[in-house]
Amino acid sequence: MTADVSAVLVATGEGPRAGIALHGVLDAAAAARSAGLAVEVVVLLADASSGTRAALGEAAEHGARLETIGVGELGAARNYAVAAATGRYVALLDAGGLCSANWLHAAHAVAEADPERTVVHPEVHWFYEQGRELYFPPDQADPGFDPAMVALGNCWDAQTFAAAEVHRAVPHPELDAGAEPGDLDWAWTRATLAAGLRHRLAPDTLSFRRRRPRTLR
Amino acid sequence: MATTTDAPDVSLVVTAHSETVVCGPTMRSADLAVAAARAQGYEVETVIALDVASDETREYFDQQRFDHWERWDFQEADLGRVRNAAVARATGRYIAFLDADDLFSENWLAEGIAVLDEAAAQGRRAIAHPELNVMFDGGNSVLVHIEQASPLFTPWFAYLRNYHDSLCLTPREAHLAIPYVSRDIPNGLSFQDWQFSIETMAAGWEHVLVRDTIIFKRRRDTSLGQESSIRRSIVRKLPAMAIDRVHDLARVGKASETA
Amino acid sequence: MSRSRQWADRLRRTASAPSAAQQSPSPDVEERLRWCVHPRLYLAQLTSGERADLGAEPGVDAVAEHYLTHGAARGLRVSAFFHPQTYDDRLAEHDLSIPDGEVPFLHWLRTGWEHRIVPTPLFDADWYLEHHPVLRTHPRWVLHHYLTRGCYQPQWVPSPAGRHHGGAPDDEAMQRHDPLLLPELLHRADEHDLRESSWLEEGVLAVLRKRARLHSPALAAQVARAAELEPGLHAPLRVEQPSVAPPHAHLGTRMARELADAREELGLDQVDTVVLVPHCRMSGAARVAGVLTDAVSAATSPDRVAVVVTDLPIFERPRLFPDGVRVLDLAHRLTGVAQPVRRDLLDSLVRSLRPRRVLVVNSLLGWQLVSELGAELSRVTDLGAYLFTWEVDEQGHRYGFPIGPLQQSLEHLSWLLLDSERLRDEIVDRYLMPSATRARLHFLRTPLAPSEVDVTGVLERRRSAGAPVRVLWAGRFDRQKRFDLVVEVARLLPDVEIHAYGKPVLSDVDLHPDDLPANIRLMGVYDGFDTLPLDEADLLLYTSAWDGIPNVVLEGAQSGLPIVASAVGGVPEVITPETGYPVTDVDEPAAYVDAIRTLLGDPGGATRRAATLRERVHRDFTVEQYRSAVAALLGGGES
Repeated sequence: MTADVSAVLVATGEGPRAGIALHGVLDAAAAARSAGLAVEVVVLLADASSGTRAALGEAAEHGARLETIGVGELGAARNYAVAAATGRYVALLDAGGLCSANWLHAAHAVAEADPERTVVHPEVHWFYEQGRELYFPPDQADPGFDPAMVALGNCWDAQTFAAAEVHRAVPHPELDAGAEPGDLDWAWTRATLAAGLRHRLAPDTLSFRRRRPRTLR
Repeated sequence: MATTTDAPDVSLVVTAHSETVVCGPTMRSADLAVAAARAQGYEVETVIALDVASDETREYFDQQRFDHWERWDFQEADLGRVRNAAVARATGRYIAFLDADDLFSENWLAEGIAVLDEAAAQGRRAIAHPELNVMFDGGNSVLVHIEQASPLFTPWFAYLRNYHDSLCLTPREAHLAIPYVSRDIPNGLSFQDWQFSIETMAAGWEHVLVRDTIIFKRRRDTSLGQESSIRRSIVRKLPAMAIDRVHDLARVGKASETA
Repeated sequence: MSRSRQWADRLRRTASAPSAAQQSPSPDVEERLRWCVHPRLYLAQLTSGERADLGAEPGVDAVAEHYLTHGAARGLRVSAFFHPQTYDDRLAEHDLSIPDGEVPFLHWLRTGWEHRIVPTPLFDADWYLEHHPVLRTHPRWVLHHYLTRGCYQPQWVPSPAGRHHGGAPDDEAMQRHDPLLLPELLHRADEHDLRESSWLEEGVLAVLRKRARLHSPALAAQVARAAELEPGLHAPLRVEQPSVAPPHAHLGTRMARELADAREELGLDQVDTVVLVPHCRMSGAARVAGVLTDAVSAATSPDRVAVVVTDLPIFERPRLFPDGVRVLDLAHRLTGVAQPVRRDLLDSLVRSLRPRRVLVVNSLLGWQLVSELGAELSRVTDLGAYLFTWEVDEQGHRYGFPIGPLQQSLEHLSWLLLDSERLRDEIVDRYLMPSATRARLHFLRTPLAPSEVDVTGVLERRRSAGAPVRVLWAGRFDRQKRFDLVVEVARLLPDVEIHAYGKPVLSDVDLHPDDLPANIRLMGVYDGFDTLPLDEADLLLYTSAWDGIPNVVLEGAQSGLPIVASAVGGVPEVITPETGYPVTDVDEPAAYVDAIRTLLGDPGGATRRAATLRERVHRDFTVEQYRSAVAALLGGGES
């Protein structure tokens, strides 16, 4: 069976809150299914801590497929997640955050218009722990948008919704240990622009995360 | 006061890994301190301990101008382990470490040996520290060493911070009895020093200061934050730091029961 | 009548709508107008002819007057904090409107202000108070605080859409009436009608609209549902940090445009050499940057070289640089931009020019680029730097490029050029440098500008004619140059006249002309050593506390003047007992006095030393030698 959408939760050292992230993905998958989509939920334990493994230990009982790799580097983990996904589209999610319940089907609707070139982002990023703030990623079609700006600061994160083909065409960079949080997203943003992809927004969707990566500004 | 045994009075061990020209000031200060110690009649063994050294580092220390230093190669990839290995090979009564980007004051070795010899003559087991650690380069600050005999000394403070920097002058037997723990990432180097400091105190070694001496420590990276809180939690787990034992830590002349 | 009185009268006539004609004009309104005038915004709306009429930097009064006379009627905006549409909307909420024929901005000054109506999306009074609680005791409306202080200082955040600027302080912004957000406001000015709105205001309105979206039923429902899963979200919305919504309010957007404009301004797609200089004003380093650029362009071609000004938008002495070499003022494009974006922008610019080599000549940003990004940058281009001397602070500690920045950059530098052999030896010795590293250090004698001046023998003629003894001193009146020693020397030699040329460049010394001994004469600035009346002086006195090989000593030597000089830095490489009168006890006024007396006591001997010196510098410090040394270096760098 080929799914329309693979929602992959990448988990490393998040601990108990990975359970909340899983809950969020399951809700979003259920909402997407009731909108008529075939959805698979994959939990990828990427060199996960014991607390994270404990939090997600029963994911299979909730209908998620469990994958385990010994690599914790996020770029490699994301590439593995794409490889392990069977869906036409892949939604990448980190176990430290939470997506809004409408994320999968709303993003799917946007991507369907131009599947080969579209990367979908939520309308709002809601950062809620350190420095509570809102961040609104740009739609690349905004007339004020200048692709050159990403040389000097990132504007999109990589917890995206895109066709599996898109992820395979532009794999996530695998950075060394010295990379800062957010560097990976930034490097991927630059690669996607170089590859001619289009970053779009799914209206009425949100991503909730604990803090804004330094590079996203 | 020179001793009559065959052993050198002190082995000075400079540890280097990837440093190159930044060692220029370090080595000049070391040579000055060695010359000052020899002028007092002390015998000094001088060692450059290269630990998994980069090609550039090896090239730098291969210069003829350092031929009066022994060059020992190690493959430990860990500052604690390379120090232990260097101690095993060193022959001096005392060991002085110097990291490759730090500097001694010229009088450090000579004054330090004198203080340790005097303590030994009184039957005390002592480890010597400079009066001041001056941090430079990335942010300037001065750490004034508090010796154990000082009324300002309290063992509880050792929960929070390491009292004693690792660039000390130490009888070789203390290092042999209490080797550095190898690096348990993410505990890091400072933790090795910290643990050495606590365990030597617990074993009855007295940390004393040497007046008018300074070690200058280059500080490049000051982001300690989270890492140091992890270290603190590990320090609390050391037997000597147990809440019912810490009171006895470092009572001068008394080894605590846990030693 | 003063200028401000003139425009105050004009304000009474212009501002008064027919209905308000009987009201007496309030002095408050004049004051408010003054707080609001932003010359740079206003000038941006004028034609070039009008701008020329107003002069290069008209003050607040001139702009206010021009606005009242011409601009108001044409709907021009004189204040960054008046947005006509916002004022209209907010006025309507108060059931008020602007009477026909009245200028909206002047209506606000008179009426809107009294109703505490904020006429701009850039400022949110509630946010401002909540985030700066210290202002609860501000004696006036908080907008007054923002207008008169907050908009000029980076720490005051005016709105949930952020601070609206790059975050760098500008100490003179308040005095110039240049709110820190002006570069953002004038970004893409060609795409906006500045009378009505701007890139910044459109961006802030977009952020506010996006924030308002959170109250839409669909998003609110999603947030509520997520908060069921994770109560830590702190729903409902209560945001403590400003919101960001690129491309607006994203520094990268403005910087990307600045970079593109800088590339266009330069007019070169690719160059061989980029020379990074801090600025260009009276200094030996600026001169060396010029001769280096000259040598590099002689070795390659002038259109293969780009000079980039990185630290201060000052380029006072363009003649120091060869004709035909492009100079790019990057510093003015970095206005208001904080680190590390400044560094990253320079990195992007340099990389886009694909040079074979980048040479840092006293550019602070350049040193920062090399020390922080040198590992990556040196993979695509050769990096080089020029070192002159270290500096000494008031405690006597050495600092400067040869100390910290050099250490952090050394491994990334293909070459290090030095103007003094002494400094080279010092650095080699300090780092116990191995030969491979040493080979990257190159001592180059800074060439002298060609000069035919020859005053050899003037000393003997003046002495035998019995003219009063006249000592020449020339330089900046800085701490480094030790003018205090000159004062002491003058006191000890009351029969000697000292003619001192130059001006204070750094404001680190107190100099009160009234306190000087009568035998010191301050002669003011000079333009080139050879313009000085050298044949009316007996000797050159040089007193610096530290230096490389100073230009003024070389130029004195070139002219044939006998020289008494402090033996610091590279000076002993030129002034020896065979060629002049070096003073080793450099802090001691009596030592200079002794040297001067020795010199005067044997005019024939002094003349011979000066002649020897003149011959040596003409032989050793030539442009030809310098150019061929640089050419050899560049050839080596490319192999």
